[in-house]
Amino acid sequence: MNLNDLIIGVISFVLTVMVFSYLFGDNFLFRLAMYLLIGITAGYTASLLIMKVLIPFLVTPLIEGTFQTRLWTLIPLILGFILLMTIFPRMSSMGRVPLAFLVGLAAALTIVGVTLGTIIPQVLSTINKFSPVLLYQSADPPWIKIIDAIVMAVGAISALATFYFGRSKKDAQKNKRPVLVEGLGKLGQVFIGITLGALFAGVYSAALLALISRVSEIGSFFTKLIAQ
Amino acid sequence: MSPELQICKNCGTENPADVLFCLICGKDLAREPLSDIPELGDILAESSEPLEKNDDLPEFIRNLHDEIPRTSIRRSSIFNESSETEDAQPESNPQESETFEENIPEWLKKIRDRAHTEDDAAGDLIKKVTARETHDLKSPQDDPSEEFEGWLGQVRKSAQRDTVNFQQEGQDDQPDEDEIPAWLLKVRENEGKLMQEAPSEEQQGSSDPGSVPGWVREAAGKEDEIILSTEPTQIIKVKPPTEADQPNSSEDINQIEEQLEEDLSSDNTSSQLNDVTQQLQITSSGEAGIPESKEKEENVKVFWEEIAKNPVSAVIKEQHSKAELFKALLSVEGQPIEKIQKPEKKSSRVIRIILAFLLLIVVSLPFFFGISNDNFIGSLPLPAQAFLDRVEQLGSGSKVLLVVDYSVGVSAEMEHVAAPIITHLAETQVELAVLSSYPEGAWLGERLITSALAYRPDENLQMIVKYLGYLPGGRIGLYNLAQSSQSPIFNGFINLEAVTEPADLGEYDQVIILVDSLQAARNWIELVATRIPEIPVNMISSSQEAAMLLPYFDSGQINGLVAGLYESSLYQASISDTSQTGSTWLSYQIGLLFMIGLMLLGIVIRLESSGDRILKEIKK
Repeated sequence: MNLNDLIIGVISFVLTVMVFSYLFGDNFLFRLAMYLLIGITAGYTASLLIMKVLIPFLVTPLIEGTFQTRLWTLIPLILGFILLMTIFPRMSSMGRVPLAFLVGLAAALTIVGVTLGTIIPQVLSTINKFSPVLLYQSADPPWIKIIDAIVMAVGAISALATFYFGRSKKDAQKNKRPVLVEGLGKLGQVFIGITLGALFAGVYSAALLALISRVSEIGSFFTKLIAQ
Repeated sequence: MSPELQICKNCGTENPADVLFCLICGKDLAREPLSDIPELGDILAESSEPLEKNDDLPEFIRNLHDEIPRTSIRRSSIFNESSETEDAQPESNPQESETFEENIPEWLKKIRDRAHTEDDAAGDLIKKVTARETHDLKSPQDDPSEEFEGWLGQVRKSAQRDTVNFQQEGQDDQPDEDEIPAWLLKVRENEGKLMQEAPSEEQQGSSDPGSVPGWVREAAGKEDEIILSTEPTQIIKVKPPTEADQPNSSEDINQIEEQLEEDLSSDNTSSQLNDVTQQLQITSSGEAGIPESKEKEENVKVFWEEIAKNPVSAVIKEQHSKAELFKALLSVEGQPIEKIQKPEKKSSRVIRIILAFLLLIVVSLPFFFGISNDNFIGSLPLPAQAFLDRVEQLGSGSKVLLVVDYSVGVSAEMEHVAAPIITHLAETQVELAVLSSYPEGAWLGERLITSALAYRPDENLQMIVKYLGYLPGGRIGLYNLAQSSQSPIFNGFINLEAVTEPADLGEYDQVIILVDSLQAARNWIELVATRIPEIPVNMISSSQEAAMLLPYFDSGQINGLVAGLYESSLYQASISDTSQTGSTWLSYQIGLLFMIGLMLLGIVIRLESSGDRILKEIKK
């Protein structure tokens, strides 16, 4: 174990103990560890953005690039400068231009991405599960695949029905959804509940693994320290 | 003529029944001489006497007083000619009044006409303003003290009338929420938000202290509480109402008002008002808001006796208190409210610490004693098997793009999950390029490769790894990456020598994406994977996101998926590698069992305590 490993190991152990001190309630040591984490992350991100984004994508092209490159680089430079003006209340309205550009671009990408990357492929996948070719292609018995396909379709439709809040046209005065949608919505709540339960179990799993990882690393550190 | 109308004896104008002064000439319209009313006789006698100079008045009354001339001036500017006429002959005859009516605005005529025809049409405020303006018009240049005296007389009569009304009401009247004015409801509403807890004894207050309307009684109760709970010495002492005690001269009134001014302007006023707020907070949670104890009942009686004795000072004091209360409420409006947290029980903290240390010991045991479990039960799930098949298709020298898109918080899990796959890739001798769209992903990628290869130090695994660093821009950056091989503009712009170029995606034989969130996975699937259908895209995720990613595997948008430590361990067993996660897996299993046991225990304890509580309620 060299000096670097020793220092890192000690700091790691101390910080872990500081975080565990939360067991005794909120205290200064725990808060100090949190502040360190946030501060270091923010500092690292800032330095990374300067070194990996601003300098190579903005400064270097302006200094060393060709005339065409410099012109291209002027666009983000001006937009960035205008965006910076939002810190001054009088000029904050100017910042809407680059913000509008960014929001519009992100919205366009999201709409296209969700439509082509999620909605259409997922709908097609749900429909294709009933394809006879796929049903008999698998090694599993076809009835299992059929049940699988039905559960998938019912789960998808009922989960969507859960979030349908339209009123029945027949009984418009009663604030109730149509009977079919109401029933499907109740069923959809079951599917959503199971999904959220699985996500919650995953959170426990991740937390437990983080604990095991720390215990493993601290144990390994002390084993090496004692062995020397 | 309607019996509700009353004719002015001065100008003959018909006035609504409930106005005090003639709407035209301002003459007092009392239907019977006020001196005939025993309760009012003395007070009116005082009000008819002019007050002394303005300098003798208390400051806040003088402030009110000062507003009257301004109104007179404004009114005079509108009705200049009429005012002059009125000045010349204060006791104007009906003909002159008709001349004046020709000059008044149309809107005022309508209001007055409607007030003649409909008793309820003229609001209380309009009636008072009309009477006041008419009175001002009558003698705008008179001594202001006379105008003030008129106003004071109105206040006295109003208070006296209220007192008489209160006494006429039954003693058994319960406070009615409908009678509570809007301002008190607002106070309750606002203060209810501030209030976290109220003493239970205060919530039970429901006694009926007097024969007054509910909201007045409630306000009076608070007023009384304030005075008596803070500075008992500041109460205006009430003696039995004898004739000798009745204020029968302007000097007496001034004396009382000066005393009141001192009371209100004393240093303790703010503390009293703070207590007002506190008392409102407490009583607003109760049904009635009336103090229950006899002492408080007596306080309320004292308050109303005070009103009976000296209505002016009591009413002004009450109004002053209300105004200050609103001022205090406005001052705290919008300010953050400190959340009152219940102190944690010491026993629960001890139990929590014991359980945490127990969990710590349990998960540490396999590492300290070198116990491992390499017998993984179950077969590799279909998505993980597909992943394995794709990796095995790679040959030596194949190029793989490894995307490290997870945060520091889940790095422990992700490193454990990805380690068998990284070593598998190292065994295959692929060329790895590591890229991240997370800022911290750049060094997490380096740490991942280092720690994964360190799992098998004996075999001295080596792999050609190229760290491409951070890909900025989020979704836009990913779109840019997907377009880089197709668009010469993007390609030409990015391909600067100073930039770490992630290179063309078409160069890679496979893309492996490590993600800790559905959003990150969707970004890559929607913006990148759909544009490179010829390149297999596999995913490694935390167990938390597995359920959300499986539909993408079913739809064929990702070609393989390994999620969580369990699948990773099965993957490891499938490639006959037992050197890495045996102890971790055993520790994980023990930890999960411990946590499941804790949850079940918690459920049982909770049910038991709930059952006990229900049984107690049933017994009650």
